[in-house]
Amino acid sequence: MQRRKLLETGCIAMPLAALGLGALLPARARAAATAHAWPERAFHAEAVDAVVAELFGDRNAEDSARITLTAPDVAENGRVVPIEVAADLPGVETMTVLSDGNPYPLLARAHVTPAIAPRVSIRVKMGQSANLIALVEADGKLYRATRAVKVTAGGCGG
Amino acid sequence: MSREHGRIRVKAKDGGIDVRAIIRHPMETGSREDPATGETIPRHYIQEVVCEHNGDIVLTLDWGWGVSANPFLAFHIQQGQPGDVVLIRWTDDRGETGSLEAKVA
Repeated sequence: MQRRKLLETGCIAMPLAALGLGALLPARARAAATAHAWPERAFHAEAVDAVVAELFGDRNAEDSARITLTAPDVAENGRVVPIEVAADLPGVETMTVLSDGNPYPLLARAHVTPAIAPRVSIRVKMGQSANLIALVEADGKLYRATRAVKVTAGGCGG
Repeated sequence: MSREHGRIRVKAKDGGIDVRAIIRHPMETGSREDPATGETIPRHYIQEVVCEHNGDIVLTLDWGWGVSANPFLAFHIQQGQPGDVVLIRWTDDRGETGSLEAKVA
């Protein structure tokens, strides 16, 4: 409920900023208008379902071919796996990436604004061969794409 | 820009700006042992990354310790021109902060 409210506030704040009204606000107030709390419990959750429940409640994700999750089929170094999430969907709000083989599956979440292309690249750690899962919130709906990555040298232990 | 915090590259492309950055940070998981002492290296990772285009926030990221050491980040700002400024700033779990800034040529 709280999070839903935050998202709506964000949607209202953005057009204001686009009109230049944002510039009239002090920097601190502007930052507060777009601030998102770091999801502590989701990052500490140890199962994919628990992460999803923390971030999205009981909403169901629909598999979508309009999400492109790019990653190597085989990662020779699990400590550095390059990934890109791109969404060919209108109104992208967040993009979240998980690995179902990591002790803590949640890797990263991006809060996207219309000012950028809904496409973000990062590098992540994968402890073992696993599925990468991208969850994209767009226009209030939740979409999912999954991709298997074979890891030949793990990235979480010593 | 200080190399101490990493490197950022911005390039005009397709009427917008391609941004690529490498942030200098250990991103320790907390499960790694120091090979010399056998002691566990404490968890230490960037939690929040904020990306600004001419002072407006365009992208915010929540990161955990599953992001690789010396994190890489790339994205594309839809509209931009020479002289525009891109700023990436971050805060880690110990409250330490850093930033990288670049101007489009």
